[in-house]
Amino acid sequence: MDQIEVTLVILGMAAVTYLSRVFPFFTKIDVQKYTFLKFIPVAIFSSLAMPDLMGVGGVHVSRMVAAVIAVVVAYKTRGMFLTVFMAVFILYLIEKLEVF
Amino acid sequence: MSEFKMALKHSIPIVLGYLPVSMAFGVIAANYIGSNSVLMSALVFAGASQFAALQLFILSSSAIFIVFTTFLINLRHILMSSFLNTYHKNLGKLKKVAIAFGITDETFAIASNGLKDLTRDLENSNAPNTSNTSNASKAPFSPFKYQFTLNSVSYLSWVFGTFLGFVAGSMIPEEILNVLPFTLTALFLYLLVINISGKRDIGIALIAGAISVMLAGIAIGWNIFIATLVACFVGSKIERRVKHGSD
Repeated sequence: MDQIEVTLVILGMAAVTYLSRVFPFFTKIDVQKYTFLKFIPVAIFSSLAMPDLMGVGGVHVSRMVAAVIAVVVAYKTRGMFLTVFMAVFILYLIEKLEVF
Repeated sequence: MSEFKMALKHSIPIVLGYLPVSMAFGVIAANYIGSNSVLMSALVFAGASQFAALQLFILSSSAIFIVFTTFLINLRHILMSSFLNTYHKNLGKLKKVAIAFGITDETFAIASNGLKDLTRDLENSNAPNTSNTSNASKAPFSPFKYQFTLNSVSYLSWVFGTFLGFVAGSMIPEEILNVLPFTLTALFLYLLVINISGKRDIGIALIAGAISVMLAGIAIGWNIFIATLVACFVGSKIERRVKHGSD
């Protein structure tokens, strides 16, 4: 594929991606009456995070340990920055020191 | 704190997560699609689908297949935009068009939480008993300003990171570059914990997480879409049963 074709494919990708993002803002369907919408955050956050911790091959041990610490820090402190910082720092230490 | 400052503060974890991921994308993509890598980040702005498309470009897939795959991967944004629209439903068309472009997993994550907190604070400050007008802000809280700032900062870091990766290769040591994307995972975990109230939510999270993991190797993007729909469906069934039970 030459670079002009690649550019055209990217334009197509941009169009279909934007479609999914913009459609719900303009639909006449009253999303408010669909009570299941309120469960979306919990469900999405879990579906986004879990595949990063375990895959088809099994559990990523170092990431799982960092994740457990993140959950505990989040629960105890309710602090976003502290949670994110601790998680990344612990993961860095584990990988640097080759604990697992 | 103004919407603008609040959004700037809330976007820090996103920027920290986006920069290394987009740089990695820029480094890899530069070898195959050249400056089109920056164009892709600027126009598509959706990480998972960009990496998938890059892989398909490398494998010389057909144009239609790449576009269709992108569509499937990014279909999950319908759920996020639907949810966020509950805060933005009264906006004008142009403003909706503008914020829709910046809805990603991460901006959704921060905004769904931030808008909930900020609109609740607003309700509290408008309560009749706290009629202390001296320090009450005159302008009402604007969900648009908050969302637009958050989206813009995230977008700029994504495009800028891609550009950095494209021109300079990786300047950050590899061991740091390797762990920084975990920022985003930690962010999702934090928001998950914050949003869970009660056993029902834990159940929903477990169902969604399990389905997402099981389908992750099969269909990228779809795993999140299907897992979320099924878990939400189960959640509303449980709620209905509990309500009927207590009648």
